[in-house]
Amino acid sequence: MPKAKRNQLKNRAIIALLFTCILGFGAGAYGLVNVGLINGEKYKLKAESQQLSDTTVTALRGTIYDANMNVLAQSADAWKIWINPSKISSDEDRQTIAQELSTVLELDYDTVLEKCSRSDYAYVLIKSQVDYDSKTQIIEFRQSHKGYNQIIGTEEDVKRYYPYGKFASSVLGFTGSDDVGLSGLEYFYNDTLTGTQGRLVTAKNAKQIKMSSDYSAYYEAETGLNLQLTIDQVIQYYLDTALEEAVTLNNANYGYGIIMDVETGAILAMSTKPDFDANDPYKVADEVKATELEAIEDPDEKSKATSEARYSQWRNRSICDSYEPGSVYKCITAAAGLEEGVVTPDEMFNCTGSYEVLDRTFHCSHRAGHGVEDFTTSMMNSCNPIFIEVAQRLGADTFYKYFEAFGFAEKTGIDLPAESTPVADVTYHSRKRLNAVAMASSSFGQTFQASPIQIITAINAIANDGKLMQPYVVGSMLDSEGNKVFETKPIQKRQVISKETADILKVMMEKVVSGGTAKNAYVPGYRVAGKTGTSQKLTIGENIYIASFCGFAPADNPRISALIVVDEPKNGSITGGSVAGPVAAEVITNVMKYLNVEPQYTDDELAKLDVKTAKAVGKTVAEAKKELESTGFTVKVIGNGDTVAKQVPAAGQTLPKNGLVVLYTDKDAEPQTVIVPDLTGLTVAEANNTAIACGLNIRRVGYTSAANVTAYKQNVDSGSDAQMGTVITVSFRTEINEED
Amino acid sequence: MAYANRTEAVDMRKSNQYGSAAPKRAPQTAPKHAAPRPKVVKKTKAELRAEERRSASKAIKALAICAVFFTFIAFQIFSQVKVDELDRQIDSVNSEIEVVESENTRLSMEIDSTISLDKVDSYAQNVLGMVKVENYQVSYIDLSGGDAVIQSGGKVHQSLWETIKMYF
Repeated sequence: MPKAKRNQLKNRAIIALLFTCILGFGAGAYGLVNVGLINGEKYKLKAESQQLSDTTVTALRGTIYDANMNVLAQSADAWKIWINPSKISSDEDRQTIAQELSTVLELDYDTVLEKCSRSDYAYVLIKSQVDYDSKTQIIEFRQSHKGYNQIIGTEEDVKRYYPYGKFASSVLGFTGSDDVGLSGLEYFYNDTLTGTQGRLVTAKNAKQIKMSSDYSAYYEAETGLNLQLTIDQVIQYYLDTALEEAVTLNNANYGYGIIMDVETGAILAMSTKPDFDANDPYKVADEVKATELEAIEDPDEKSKATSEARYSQWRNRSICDSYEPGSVYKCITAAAGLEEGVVTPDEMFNCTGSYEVLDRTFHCSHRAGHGVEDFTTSMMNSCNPIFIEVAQRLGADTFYKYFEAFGFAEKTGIDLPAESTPVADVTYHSRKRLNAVAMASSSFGQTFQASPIQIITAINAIANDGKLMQPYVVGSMLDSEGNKVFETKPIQKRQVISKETADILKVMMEKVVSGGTAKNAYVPGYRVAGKTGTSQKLTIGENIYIASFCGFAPADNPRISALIVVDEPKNGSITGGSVAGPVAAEVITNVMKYLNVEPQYTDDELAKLDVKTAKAVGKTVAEAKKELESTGFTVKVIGNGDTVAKQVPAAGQTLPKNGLVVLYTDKDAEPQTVIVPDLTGLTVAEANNTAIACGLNIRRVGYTSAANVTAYKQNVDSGSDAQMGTVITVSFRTEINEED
Repeated sequence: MAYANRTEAVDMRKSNQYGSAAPKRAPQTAPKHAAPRPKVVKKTKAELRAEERRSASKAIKALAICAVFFTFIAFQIFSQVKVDELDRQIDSVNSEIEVVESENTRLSMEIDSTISLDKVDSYAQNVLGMVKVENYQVSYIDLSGGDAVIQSGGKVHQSLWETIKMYF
């Protein structure tokens, strides 16, 4: 080959090589620029998703404790059970799976079978928040059947436990399936309770298997903060029990109540009855309502009614509802009158039974009039005309000033959701529209509305020497180690009246309980002060009432304020004094004992106190009989022996002065039983005599000082058997017929 | 005799002395950078033995290095497998702990629900026949005066100064 030709070939080869190099490197360079710069983010994400496994670590929701660190709500891991119906190939498999899942998960077979039949779907949730035992059973079932691994699946879930079910459920609220608070404190403090989710990022190898911990990064989840409430489990229990009984006894629609710490405004108990089980909030807890819902045939109507029933049972009526406070508001009118010096406790008035303001005539609940009485007595009698007179003396400006100062024109600011918002000229009269007539009706708590929390906060200000406090439910927040990260400091909103005026009012309100319309709230030894209220629900109908009592104890050194509201009592009594008063007495007695407040009896109260039974066991029958009879007891001896072997009631128990003590001379003698009589409707003396005649004793609870006092409930059902000498607790009350 | 069959270092160019059957080509000019001809050095038997020993030793060393290298690799793989295995065990134990903690919470909640105040109250009154505490059963002690210690009679300890003062 000639040299020139060889050189030409060589040059061509070099050019071809250069071209190939340029093309190759150019393509490579372009690829690098494209991957690194132009579409860098996209490829980065793709690479990360291919090479990294990113798992969210769920943060556990904080726990809710009561004031004494008893758990009221706590979260724990649970599981979701799902199926892939597209992988179910035969009807036999479908039925087998539906049968097993419905049995283990306690679900309706037909519903599960229908879910199994959705062959177009790859994921159908069967049940969430399944516990460990059920999940294990389902996994065992899955493993025992070939091919079911691809059909039945489980995934992690969280479940919120409320150990005491209905306990304070309207305050605590509940969470949804995604562990998000939907109502009550769970909703209000959702962000605080939720915490921060964590992440586990792990490298994956070519086979998509997670690599060792050297190639992983773990960002720990932060558990939500725990809440320590001011609610005390024991006080809440007393309130719950008393309200539940009151709703049943009075055939009422609802009962709601609040117990507040006087000094701080902390809520010690808050209850709405009927309520719901927070573990199963979608179930209508009221059995009567549930039966009514079951009877509805039209599916749309049924769905709508069920939804309404659920919303109704979730409602915290102590916060969300408002009503006309009625005569309870007279305390505020009196406070304004005394503070402004337009009236004194001893000033004499004449109640003629009515009072005219412009063209309107307002009547007293006692139509004939109370006659001449001082201001304190007018409060004891809940005399409307006198309070209208005080309001007229104050004038609209001053009257409205105190209305506002006591917090009736604003929210209390309690840390609970959906607090009722006062709206000027809708729920109350604005200053502009507060004319003489509106002021007259407002002076005794009519024609405006207030929420229960507003009312107790205002009355609490009187108990707290005139200091209006902001109510609160959460006392502190704790981290997962139990360290306090936040503590609620009591907030005094303002001084609404002077301490001197508050002291005068305390005395007046105590007299309302000891001798006025709130007699049924009287508790011997504990100086209860308060005011009853009976208001009509005029928006619904004429003879529909709300009975209430709001007060505090002990009157001289108040520790707690209490509000009891019975909504639409339908069992005869409708007044606050008859319906709400006894409930308040029961709750206050229990709470005072629980708070270790020493009872201080007056001489009168001491004289009426029951007597302790002496120890008779071991003594001769004659000696024991003599000793017991000398203290006023009736003695019944069973057996022929000489020495007392057993006594019922036991030594130390208190009985009315003519109570019955049964002495057994044979320790192994069969206890004598008697049938418990019906004592309701009887006076104190009648109930005591009837019980003794049957071989039983009574323990008197409630107001027993007046002649017209009658028993309204007993703790042992009539007709049941009881051992001779047993003490039956009988509750008494006096009927307050006038709307108080 | 042992070395009689040994292959001697041979200059292959010498073999051309016997000629070739191929037609003779014109002599080519030697390339400019032709490799230098290797020197043929005749080694003694002792040198050859030493050389053989050296190469055997080298081979053993190489083998040993390889063995160490492969052992190291094997250990690495083994330890990696072990780490993976332990990681899996840790994950598994952590999962078990989580499950057990959840079960503990669930069971605690179940226990709490069985000892709620209403159930305790009902059981105490209806089954055990207990009655609620009455005021007369409670004794109230006033502690508003604060704590105080009353010392019984005995030797009173005095300070030195007080003892001296007593003499004056």
